Amino acid sequence: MPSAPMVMKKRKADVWVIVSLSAAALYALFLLYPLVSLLSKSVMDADGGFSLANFQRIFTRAYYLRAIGNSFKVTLAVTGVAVLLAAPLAYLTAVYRIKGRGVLEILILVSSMSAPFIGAYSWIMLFGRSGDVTVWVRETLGLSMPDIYGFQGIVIVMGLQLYSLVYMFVSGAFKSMDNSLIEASESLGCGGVRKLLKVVFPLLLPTLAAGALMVFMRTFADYGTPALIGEGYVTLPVMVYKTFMSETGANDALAAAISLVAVVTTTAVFLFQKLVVSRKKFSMSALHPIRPKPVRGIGGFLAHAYCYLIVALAMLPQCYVVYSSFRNTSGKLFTSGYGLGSYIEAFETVGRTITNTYALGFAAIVAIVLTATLIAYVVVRRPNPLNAALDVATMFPETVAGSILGIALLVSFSRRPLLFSGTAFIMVLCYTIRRLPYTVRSSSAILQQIHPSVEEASISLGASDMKTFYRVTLPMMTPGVLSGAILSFIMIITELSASIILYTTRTKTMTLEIYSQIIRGNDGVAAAISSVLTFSTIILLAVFFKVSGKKEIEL
Amino acid sequence: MSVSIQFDRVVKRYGSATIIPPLSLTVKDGEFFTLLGPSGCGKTTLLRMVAGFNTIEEGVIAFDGKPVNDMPPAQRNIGMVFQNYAVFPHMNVRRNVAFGLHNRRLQRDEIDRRVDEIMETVHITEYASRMPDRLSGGQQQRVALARAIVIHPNVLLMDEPLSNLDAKLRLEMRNVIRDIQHSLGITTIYVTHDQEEAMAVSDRIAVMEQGVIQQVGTPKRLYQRPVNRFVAGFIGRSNLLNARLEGGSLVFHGTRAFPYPNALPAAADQSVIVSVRPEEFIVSKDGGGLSGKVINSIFLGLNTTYFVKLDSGETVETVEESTIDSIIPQGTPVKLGLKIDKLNVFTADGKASLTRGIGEVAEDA
Ligand SMILES: Nc1ncnc2c1ncn2[C@@H]1O[C@H](COP(=O)(O)OP(=O)(O)OP(=O)(O)O)[C@@H](O)[C@H]1O
Ligand SMILES: [Mg+2]
Repeated sequence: MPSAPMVMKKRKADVWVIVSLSAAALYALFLLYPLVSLLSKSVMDADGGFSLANFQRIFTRAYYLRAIGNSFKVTLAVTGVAVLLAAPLAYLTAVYRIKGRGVLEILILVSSMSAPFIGAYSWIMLFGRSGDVTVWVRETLGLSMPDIYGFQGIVIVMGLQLYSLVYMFVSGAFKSMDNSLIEASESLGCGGVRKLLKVVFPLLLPTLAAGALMVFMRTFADYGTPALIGEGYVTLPVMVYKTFMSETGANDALAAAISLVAVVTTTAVFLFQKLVVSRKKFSMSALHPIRPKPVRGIGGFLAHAYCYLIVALAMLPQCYVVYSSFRNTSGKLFTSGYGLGSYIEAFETVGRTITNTYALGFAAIVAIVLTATLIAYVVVRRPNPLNAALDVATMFPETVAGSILGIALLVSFSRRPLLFSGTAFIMVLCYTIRRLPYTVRSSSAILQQIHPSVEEASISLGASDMKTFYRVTLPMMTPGVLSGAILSFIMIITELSASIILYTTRTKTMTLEIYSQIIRGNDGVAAAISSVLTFSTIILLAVFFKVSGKKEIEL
Repeated sequence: MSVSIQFDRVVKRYGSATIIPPLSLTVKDGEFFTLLGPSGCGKTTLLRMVAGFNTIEEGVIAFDGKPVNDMPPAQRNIGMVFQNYAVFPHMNVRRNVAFGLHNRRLQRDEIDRRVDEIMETVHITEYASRMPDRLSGGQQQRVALARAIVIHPNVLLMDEPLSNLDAKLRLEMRNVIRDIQHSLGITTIYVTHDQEEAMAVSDRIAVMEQGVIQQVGTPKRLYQRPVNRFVAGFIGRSNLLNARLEGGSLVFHGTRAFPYPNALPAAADQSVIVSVRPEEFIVSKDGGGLSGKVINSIFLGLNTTYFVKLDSGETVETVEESTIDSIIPQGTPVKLGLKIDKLNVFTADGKASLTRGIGEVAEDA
C-alpha cells in the first residue's frame, strides 16, 4: 500500500476549459463589448456624463413613440397572420393526404429562406404605385388598387414569408404526435372540433408559441422590408438606421437609446421562449405517427385550395422576380420580350458582388464551423455555468436586430488598436456572430446522439483530448455540422440588415447590391441578382437534403 | 507489462452524495478481478476512477505503488472495453484496432504486425476491411477487445462487455475473454452484475453493495463461505431459515437440535439465520431432518428441483440429482436432511457470519 501522499484534487487544466475560456473571451470582445459600448451610450450626454435625456426624448416625442408603437403593431399583426395562415395549413397537411405535399413543403422552405426585402420589392413591382398589376387594373378596368405601402404592405410581405417558420414548427410537432392520442380521444367520445380544442391544440400550443415567438423576433428586428415598403411607416430598426446614418448630424446616443428599447424587447421575448415556453414542451415520440387520410368531395377541394393558395401567394414574389429577371429592359424600364440582358448587365457591372458574397460567406462559414463545433462540444459534454453562459451567448445574436449589431460593431471597432471598420474582417465577423446559432444547434443535436464512451475509448487508447475531438468526435458529427453549416451559409448570403451598416464598395454583397439597385430603380439588374440569390439558395437546400438525408429542416 | 492496483481509502462523491465511502482493495498483478454487485452499487463508478474518467475525491489509486490520481487517462496505458462496444463507426476494423498504436508512434511494420497478430487471436482477420456497421454485436465486441489489448495495456478494464449480447454469444465470448486474459496475463478489472458470469471468468471477485465491498475472494470461497446474508443471496441461490444457535447446535422451529461444529467458538446463544443452498438439503421420505411437504417440482434433466413447505411455514428450494424412480408427487410429506459442514450461519440481522473459516480467507481486502 502506498502511504497516502498529499493528493491534488484537480487534474491539470483540461484543454476544454481553455476552449471555453477562449470562446468566452471572443464573445466578450466581439459581442458583449460592442453591445455594451453601444447601449451604454444611450445613458450618456455629449460629455460622457450620465443622462436619461435620450430616453426622455424617445418616450415623450410622438415621432419616436409612434415608431415604437408601429413596431409592436406590425409585429403582432405579422405574428397573428403567420399563425393564422400556418396552423390550418400544418393541420390539413398532417391529417389529410394533400396531393403534392412534398413539393409544397419544399416551396414553403424556399420561401422561409429568402430575404424578406426581396419579397417586399416584388410586391411593389406588382402592386406598387407603378406596379404591373396596378397599372393594368387602372388602364383596363379604370379602377384603383388599394395602397400596398405602409402597415398593410409590411404585414402582407412578412406574414406571407414567416408563416413558413410557424408551419415548419407545427408540422414537426404533428409528426411527433402519436395517432393513438387522437384515437384515444375519439374513443372517449371526444371527436370533431372538441378533439381539436381539447387534445390536439393543447399538445401543439408550446410548439405553436415557439414558432410565433420566432416570427415575433424576426419581424421586430427586420430592417429591409419596412425600409422598402413601409414608406412613412417607420419601425424601430429603420429608426435606428436613420438616426445613426443620418447625414445631417448622426446621433449615436439617440440611436443607442432606441436600440436599447429594441434589444430589451427582443431579449424579453427570447428569455420568455427559453425559460417558459421551451420548458412546457411535451416530449412526444410517435410510434404510430398520424397517417394522412385521403379526402374527397367538397371538403377535399377546399383543403387543397387552401394549401395551394397560401403557398402560391407566398411564392408569388420569388417567381415574379425570376420572371422579371428575364424581361428585356431599356435603361431602367422593362420593355417587351425576354432575354438574358439583365443578367449580362448584372455580371458586367456588379459581378464582383457575387464573388464577394461567396468569398465572405465562405470565410464566415469556416470560422463558424471551427467555433460552432467546439462550442457545441463544451456545451453538451462539459455542462457547467460557464458553458451554459456560452450557450446563451451564442444564441443571443439571433435576438438582436441586425442593424443594431452592425452599428455596435462599427462604433466599437473604428478606432485603433481595434480598427476593423471598412474591412472584410468586420463583415465576416458580423456574419459569424449572427449565423453561428444554426450550426451550434445542429452540432449539439448530433453530439447528443453520440455516446461519450466512443470518445473515452479513444482517450483510453492514448489519444489526447484534442486529437480525440478531431479524429473521432468530429468525423462522427459531420452530417449534423454540415447541415447546420449549409443553413448558416444560406442565412449569410441573404443577410442585409447588419451588412448594410458595415459594407464598403469593396465588400458589397449581392443582397446589398440588390437593395441599392432597387433604390436606384434599376429593376432588371435587381431582379437578375435576386434570382441568382434564389437559385443559390435552392441549390444549397438540395445539397442540404442530400447531405443530411433528412426530409425537413429544424430551425 | 501489467501492474498491480492499489486502492487506498478511495472516496467518490457526486455533489453531496457519497457514492463510494472509503474503499481499500488490492488487485494483484496479472489477476482477473471482477467487481460484482446489483445495479447502481457503484461498479462503473469505481472502474472509471481507475480509468481516470471519474475524479477521485479522497484517497489514492496506485499502479504498482505509484499514485495515478493526477495522471490523465490518455497516459495511464489502460485498455478499456465498453458495454456498447464504442467501436469508431467511421473507421474500418483494421483502423479501429490500430488506433491506439498510432497514438504511440510505433513503426508502421510494427503496427501491422501487432494488429495482424491480435486480429488473428480474436478471430476477426476476415473482417479487417469492413466498416463496423456491417458487423454483428459479437464481432464488434471482438474488435473492441482487440483494440483494447493490442496496445499491451497495464490494465484491462471491462464494463459489462457482454451484456448487449445474446445468451449463447455471451457464453462464447466470456470464454474468449478468459482465454485471452490468461494467455496475456494482463491485470484485468471486469464489471458485471451477472454472478454466474463472474464465477466463470474471475480469479477473484469483489461483491459490492451501495459502494461498499462486502467480500473479496475466489469464486469458490464466496460461494462456500459468504461473509453475510447479502453475499449468500447474491452469489448462487440460498434458502434463509430462521433458527437459534444454542450451545453449539442449531435449533429450527419445532425440531431437534443439529450439532453445528463450525460455529465460531465465541458465538453466544442467539437467534440466527441459516443459509442453506438448494443442494445442501438431502431429501428423503423417512430420514431425519426438517419435515415438510412437497408443493411443486421441476424436472430439469440432470437435477430435479423440489419446493418444500416446511412445518414452520417457510418454503425452501432443494435440488436433487434426478433418479430413475418417479418424481416425488405433490403433497408428499418429506424430511430434509442438512449437509451440516456446508451450511453458513449469520447473525439475525444478516450482517455477520457466525461460521468458522471466514476470517482466514479475508484475503488482503
Ligand atoms: N454523474 C453522476 N452524477 C450523480 N450520480 C451519479 C452519476 N453517475 C452515477 N451516479 C450514481 O452513482 C451510483 C452508482 O452508479 P454506477 O453507474 O457506478 O452503478 P453500477 O454499479 O455501474 O450500476 P449498473 O449495474 O446499473 O451499471 C448510482 O446511484 C448512480 O445514480
Ligand atoms: Mg454500470
